[in-house]
This record gives sequence, structure tokens and C-alpha cells, in this order.
Amino acid sequence: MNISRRTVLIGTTTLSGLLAMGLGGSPAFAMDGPKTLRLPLARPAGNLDPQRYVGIFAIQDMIFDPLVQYTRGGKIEPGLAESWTISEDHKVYTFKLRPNVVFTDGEPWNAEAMKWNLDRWMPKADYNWLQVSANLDKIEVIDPMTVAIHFKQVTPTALIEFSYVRPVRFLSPRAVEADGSYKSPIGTGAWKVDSDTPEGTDLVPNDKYWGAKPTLDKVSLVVIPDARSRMSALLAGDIDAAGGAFIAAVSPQDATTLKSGGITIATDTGTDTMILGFNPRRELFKDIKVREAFNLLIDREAICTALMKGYATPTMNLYPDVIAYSGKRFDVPKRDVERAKKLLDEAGWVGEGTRSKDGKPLNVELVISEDAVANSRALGEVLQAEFSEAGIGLTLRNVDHAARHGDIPQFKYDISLFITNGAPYDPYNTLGLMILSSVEPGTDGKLWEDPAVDPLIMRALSAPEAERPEAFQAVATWLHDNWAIAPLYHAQRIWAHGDRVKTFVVPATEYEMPIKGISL
Amino acid sequence: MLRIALNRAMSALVLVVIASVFSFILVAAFPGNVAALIAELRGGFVSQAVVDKVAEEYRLHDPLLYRYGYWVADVMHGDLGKSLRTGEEVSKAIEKRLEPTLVMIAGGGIVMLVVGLVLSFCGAMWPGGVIDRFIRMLAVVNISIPKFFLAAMLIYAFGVMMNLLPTFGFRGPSSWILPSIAIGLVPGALLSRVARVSLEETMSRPFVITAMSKGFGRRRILFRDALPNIVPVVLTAFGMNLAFMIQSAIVIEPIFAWQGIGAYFVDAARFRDLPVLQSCLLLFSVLFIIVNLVVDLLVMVVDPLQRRAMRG
Repeated sequence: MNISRRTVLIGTTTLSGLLAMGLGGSPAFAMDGPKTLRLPLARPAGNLDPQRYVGIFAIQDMIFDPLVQYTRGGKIEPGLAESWTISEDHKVYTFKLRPNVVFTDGEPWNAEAMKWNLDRWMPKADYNWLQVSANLDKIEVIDPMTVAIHFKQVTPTALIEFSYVRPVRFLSPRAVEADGSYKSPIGTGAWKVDSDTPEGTDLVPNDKYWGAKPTLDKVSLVVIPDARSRMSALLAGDIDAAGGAFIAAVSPQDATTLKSGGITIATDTGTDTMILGFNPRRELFKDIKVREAFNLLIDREAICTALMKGYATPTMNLYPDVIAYSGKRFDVPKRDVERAKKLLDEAGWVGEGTRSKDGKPLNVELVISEDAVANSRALGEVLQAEFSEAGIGLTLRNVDHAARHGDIPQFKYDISLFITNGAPYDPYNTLGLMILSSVEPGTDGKLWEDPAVDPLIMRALSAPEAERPEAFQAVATWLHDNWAIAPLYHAQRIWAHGDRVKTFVVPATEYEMPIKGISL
Repeated sequence: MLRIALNRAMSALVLVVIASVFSFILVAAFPGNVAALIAELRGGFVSQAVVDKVAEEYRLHDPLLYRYGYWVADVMHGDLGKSLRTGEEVSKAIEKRLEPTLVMIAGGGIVMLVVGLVLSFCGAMWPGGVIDRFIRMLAVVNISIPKFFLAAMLIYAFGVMMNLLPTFGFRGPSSWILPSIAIGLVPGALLSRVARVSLEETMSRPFVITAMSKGFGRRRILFRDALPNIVPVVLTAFGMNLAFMIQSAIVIEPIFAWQGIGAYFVDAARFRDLPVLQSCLLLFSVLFIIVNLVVDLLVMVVDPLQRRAMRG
């Protein structure tokens, strides 16, 4: 062995030097074309199979068309179905399909392709959370461009459900393996996938698209998991815009920072509600006085101003008014600590410091999860301070997404923060899945359950159009009068964009990219 | 020599096994219901019955020891399993993601070496002077800075304010600079302290006094005589820190949006993606152990004391 120390030293130094030279003097980012929109994703696009729940909604929405389209305010417009009729008994929906539409692999869009797609999910029990799946009787091909869907019972949500992204969008029947499993993202939508890696996904216009052609040449989606890094990239002009709850969320705090850095903030009324939910199976919350006291201890106005930086509206309603049949607005009560204390006294929770009843202290656990419900930690801390003034000991248990998914459906919490489903799912989903007690709790859990409100919900969910406003109002009033939930605020939907973007329109739902109405 | 190397490799193997047992237990003991997450990916709204079915399918209800056994058996066959979330084969995913991580560690290693040696030699050239004290202060400040903060500051300074370098991405050498600095600067500061102290110690040895009395200058003595003497110490510290960089990559990669093993690990932890977590942890331990092994062997080669001990 004849290697001297000096040889090793000279060798390593030369090697480092060479490597260092390789690092320097490189070109900057290859500039994308002038008509390329660069948007961040908080996580990779994932498996885009429209019948699975892995991919990012908004990308699936770009590639796969719906039968009918949901537009702002809940209006339904034609999509791959040009027109439709509903039978007199409201059980048969007959869709006339749009002619001359092809998938990007050349496969024609027709009744056969539609039935093939619907057969992949509608008859399966896994998809019974959708009324169209639960109530399905049969799918009938009338002629090559006409399909009738027969339901066993009246299904008022049918059209809205057919506008959802998954599992209802349409995949080319040739884009699967021999065993029927998904192979590649081939749809009829305005965009098709050009490249897809863990670093990002590029989409280019589908030149066979049936609708208005996109004005952009390319949408380049880059994965930037860290919210701060997304802000830096936007400030530096490395990306053009950011936002969307399920795309690359911009928090109210971030929006304030970006605004001061010269970035334009575009907002739109949110379609969901942040709610403090009581565990309906805890003895404590079976007492309406306790629920009222908790409601009165929250300073909703201050939360919206200080925590949400004005990007939210205080509320006592289950739904914001942009949701169909959301009903009349209830007054938001002023914070009233004295009345809350009196109510707790009346409920038997008494004493100095932390109150107690029959020797049991009033300690309540709030489960928060920054992953699942953005902003929940800060909100939890505010609530902790506000509740302590009335002698309620609030402890925060911070869990991640996976732990929340385990605990919430099993009611392992005292109180927690919930977000309603929002457009296009509401007003039906939140009531049907998160409040109706006859439905098992899903991973979103239960906002409240009480057999007394079930008949009201059932009526609202199946009411014919003319009776819906009154039927939904009855549910809303019951929830409000019984202090069943503690709604906090309707957050605005925030997008931020740089100078390269000339016009920008916040999309109608959280499941779309801001491509319609954008110009560079 | 070969026997010593083999001995080291054997003890490294034992370490890998111990590391895998610990990591498996830690990961499996996490709270959270992975079955619910998998079920949700399949069908949106999830009932308890579906969750149980999934748990059954993935044998999540089996005792921990059995599950560890299944996994070890698969790994022995070269099968790292499939991701619970994406269904992708873990070994393929790791292969795809190895490049950014290795580039980051290599870049960080260079930064560490350059920063460490330059700072320590500048200090040793003028010991006790203003430069020495300034460098010492710089090193302490550097060691105390959290890496994610340093990364964010670097992005803000060079990406946003000066617009010199890309703020994110793994697209060619210019995008490698900031992550390399972010990951290498703190270990560089640490290394500079180690090197500085051993230089000081070496410079007080009798042979230095002899050299000085012969009339050689301080610079010549530092580079020709003292430097070879501190190589074993510097090399050991360098190897240690290089191995620790594998952990730092977990923090730094997501900040620069690099889709390396570190980012893969973070995603997997969020989802309780056990096969991925297991494989990543195994990979981290193996890399850690290999780096240490190589450093140990190199030190044996360059350190005359150890060489002689081996012959003896």
C-alpha cells in the first residue's frame, strides 16, 4: 500500500475542484414559452385514474369531461351530454350525447363508451356515497347517441353528481389494460398530459377538443411541497400563480405577505364553512345549554379579522349563501362570556378556576390537524384562550392527516374543527354524510347526529324542486335553534398571481384550475 | 487489512438489522389508521366495513412481529414491496429519486470541505487575530442556524431579491447551488472548528518549532507539514457530517422542491406508507454505514499510526 497522505489530499482536492467547476457557470432556467402557464402543486399529480381517489382533482378536471357541467351558483350546463330529459316520475334521466367528440386516442365518444365508463363504478357498493350509485336500477343504451339511466327512487342530486370529478368523469375505453385496470389518462377534455414525473406534470391543448380551444400553449405544473418556497417562487417570477385548497393553498397570512411584495391577490366567496363540531356521543354535549355556552364564547368577528386577515366572513349558518338552498342568514351572536357562564352554571358546571360537575372537571380536548384542516392550530389556540375565561379547560391535541382519519370517525375527540364539503357537493353531501345519523361516519366524521333531525334531512334530500327551499330551511333552523354545531366562518378562496398574468378569474369550485379567463 | 474490512462490514450488517427493527417498531407504533387512508383512495366516502376489509387485505391487523417477518422475508428476496398509496414498486421509485439526493449530498460535501478548510486555515494563518475571532464567531452563528431557515433565507436572497438563481427545482447545475450551500454550510462550520483545533494542536508540536527555527514560514509549515497531520481527524469529521447530511436532506429537499429520497420519506410518513418508510430508513442506514465504513478504511490508509498498528 503506497498511498501517501499528500496523494490522498491532492486527489480529493482536485476531485472537489472538478466537481465544483461542473456546478458553476451553468445557464439559468430554460425559459418556458410565452404562452406557458406555470403553476405549483403541493404534491405530485399522482394516479389520474378518474375512478380512483389519488390524483389531484383539478388535473383530472382538465383531462376528463363531465356529462354535465357545474357552474357558479350551482347552475348545471351541458357537457358531454348535449341535452337531457327527466321522466315525469323523476326516476329516468335520458341523456342525448354530444356528437363528433373523440378521446385523445381517437376512440369515439358514444353511448357505448358512456355505459362502459358508468359500469366501472355505478353498480359498485364502494361508490354508494353517491345517490346515483346507491339508487341505480339500470343503464340503458337507447341508440348510439342516447343513454337512459333508471333509478330505483327519486334522485334529486343526479345532475349535480354527474358534474363531479370523480368517479364520474369519462376515460377512453382503450386506456385500460386487458384486465380492465387503468393504464393512462386519456379523456375528451381540453388538455392532455404531455409529461408526468414526480417533479411535475405538463399539459398541452387537445387539438381534437369539442369546445372552445385553450388560449395557452402549455400548462406546466411543478411540485413545490413547501408553502414558503411557493411564495418565494411566485415573488421571484419562477411561477405565475398559486392557490386553490387542493392545488397549492395560499393562507390568509401568506396572502398578506405576498400582497406587500407586489403580488396580486384574487379572491372569491368560499363555498364551505369552518365549523367547531361537538362530539355528539359525549354526555357533556347532550346538554343544549353547554352547546349554547360554547357558541357564545367564540369571538367570530375577531377570528376573521385577526387570524384570517379579513379573508373570511363570520357566520352561524351551515352553508354560505352561494350554496343552493342555503336559506336565510342567522345573526352572528356577539361574544357573551357572562351569559355563557350563567348557562354553564345552570347546566351544573360550577366552581372557581376550571369548572366541575359531580367532581369531574370541565376539561375538553380539541383535536386539531394542520394537514387536514389548514389554520386549525392557530384557531385552536384562540379558542383555548376564549374558553378558559369561562372556566373551561381546553387542551389541544395536534394530529396529522392519518391520525385524524383514524380518530374522527371513531369519535375519539371532544370537539374538533370541520369543513363542509363545499361546491359542487353541497347542500346535499354535508347533510347526508356528516349529519344524518343513519349513515355511518366516514373519514370526515360527524358534525352532529340526532334522530330528531333525521326526518327533516331525509325530506330535504329527496324533496322535489319546489319544496326544497322550505325543506332545507327546516334543517338549517333546527340545527341553529338547537345550537347543534358552532359554525365559525366562511373563508374566501384565495389565489395569488404575478405580473405575467394579465387577467385572472378564480375558478368556480376548488376542483378546477384557474385556466378559464386567464391571459398571459 | 481485508480481515479488518470484513470485520467492519460484519458489524455494519448487525447495525443494519438493529436499525431496521427499531425503525419498523417506531413506524408501526405511529398513531393513525393507514387502512382508512387506503380505503379513501379507492372509493371516496369510507365506512368502517371497508376500512376493515383493507386492513385485512394488507394484513394490518396481524401482530407486529409477523408483519416485520413478512417484510424481512420480502427484502431478502430483493422485493422492497409496493407503496400503499400509489401502488408503485418501492425499489423503482427509489431508483428514480436517488439522483437528486446524491447530487445534494455530493454538493453539500464539497461546500462543507471548502468552507471547513478555508475557514480553519485562514484562522490558523493569523491565530488570535481579528480574522480568527471573526471566523470563530461565524462558525458558531452558522452552527446555531436551523437548516430550513438558512435554506429559506438563501432562496430569498439569491432567488427573490437578486434573482440570480432559481428558487426551486432540480434542473441542471445552477439549481444545485443553493441546496448544496443550504445543506453544506452548517457542517462546513462544524468542520472548520474541528480542523482549526487540530491545526492549533499540531502547530504547538516540537517539529513545528524545529521547522520554524530552520526559518520556514508559517504558511509553508501549515500546508506542507501540519495539513497532512490533520487529515485523519478532518476525514473522520467529514465522513460523520456527510452521513448526517442524509438526514438533513429530509428537511432540505422539500424546501427546494427536489423529489429525492428525503422528500419521498416525508410524503410516506404523512401517509403511514409503511413499505416506503421501511425501505427509506433501510437505505438511510445503509448509506450511513457505508460512508462510515469508507471513511474508516481511508483513515487507515492515510494514518501511519493505524497502518503500523495493522502491520504489528
